[in-house]
Amino acid sequence: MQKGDVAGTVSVGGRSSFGFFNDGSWSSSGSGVGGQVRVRLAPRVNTDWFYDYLTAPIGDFAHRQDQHIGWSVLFYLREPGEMPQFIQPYVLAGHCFDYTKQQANADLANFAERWSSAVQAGLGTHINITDRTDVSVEGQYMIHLGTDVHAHEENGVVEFHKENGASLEGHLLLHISFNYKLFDAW
Amino acid sequence: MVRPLALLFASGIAFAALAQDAVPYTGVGLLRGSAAIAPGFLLNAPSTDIYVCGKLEYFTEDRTSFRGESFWYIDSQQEHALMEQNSQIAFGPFYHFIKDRLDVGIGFEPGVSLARPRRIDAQDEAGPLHVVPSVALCAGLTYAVWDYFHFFVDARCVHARYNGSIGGAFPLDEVIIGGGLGWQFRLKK
Repeated sequence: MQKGDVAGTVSVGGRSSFGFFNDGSWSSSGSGVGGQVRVRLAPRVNTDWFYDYLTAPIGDFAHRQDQHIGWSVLFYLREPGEMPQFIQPYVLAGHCFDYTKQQANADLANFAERWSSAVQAGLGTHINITDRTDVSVEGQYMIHLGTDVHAHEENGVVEFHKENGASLEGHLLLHISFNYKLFDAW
Repeated sequence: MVRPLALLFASGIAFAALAQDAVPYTGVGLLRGSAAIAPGFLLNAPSTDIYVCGKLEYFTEDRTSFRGESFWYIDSQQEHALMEQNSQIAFGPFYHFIKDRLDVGIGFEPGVSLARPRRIDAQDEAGPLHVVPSVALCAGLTYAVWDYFHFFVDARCVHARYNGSIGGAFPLDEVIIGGGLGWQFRLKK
């Protein structure tokens, strides 16, 4: 089996992210940047340890910044062969912690913030350009569990509401990443 | 002081000369670098930004490389520019189609911009400085003219959006075109 298509492979890379369907009446898409380290536990099971920084507008009066740190397990749908498969689709699921900060555009001192935990699941595929380098495309749905924070504008005044109790907030994420296999750890 | 500098320079040249092999223009172990001045044409505003840019690129395999680029925003060519600051850094993979000394590379680069909209009049406050995520599709043409020098032309289509201005979000999509002289050294045979 070629190096890079076996258990124990450690790889590193960067990615661009696009977030859709941010919750609330001012839903809009955002974009982000991040990176990941991959540790392959078995020939068909990889793990993705990631960080993302995303920004998005809230109407024309406020904006939000989201930071994700978490991990996903990738299960490969095709049996690894003698050579790495050029296309290697996978199913993923994992956990994530999220820090959200929402700020008024006209007054950055007017803001609300929140920590939440999340679970995510989705589909993706590696495009193995060489034995060591791949580009990956994946879509996942991420559900956050935390308190509800939302922005509201009335008579030109931006207010942030932080509700009591739990709230589920979901969004679709599309990632395009690159990865380079550094070494085989075992 | 002059002698140690001369020795350092001479040893650097000697190291570079020893590190070169028969095909120095591309392949695993090659390090490329360049510095240039590049205009950026905003796609959603009649504005041309001027950047001083630098890049480093290392070939991890014969046809793949990883490139890091930085773009230092100088100003806009127009009197009423959209941005007061829009410097950028980015990093990503490239795949190369190579024919002798000619190399056509394509890639994409996730990155960030340090962006601040320009104040509209003297009483106005400039917008806040924000870290703006960006992604760029890139293409480049490189021609090695000697063991250590190459000429290049690069084009990158950047997608970014500034969130948080008083007027709301606005796009920072632009096409940046640069070119000129670059250097190359083989770090690994």
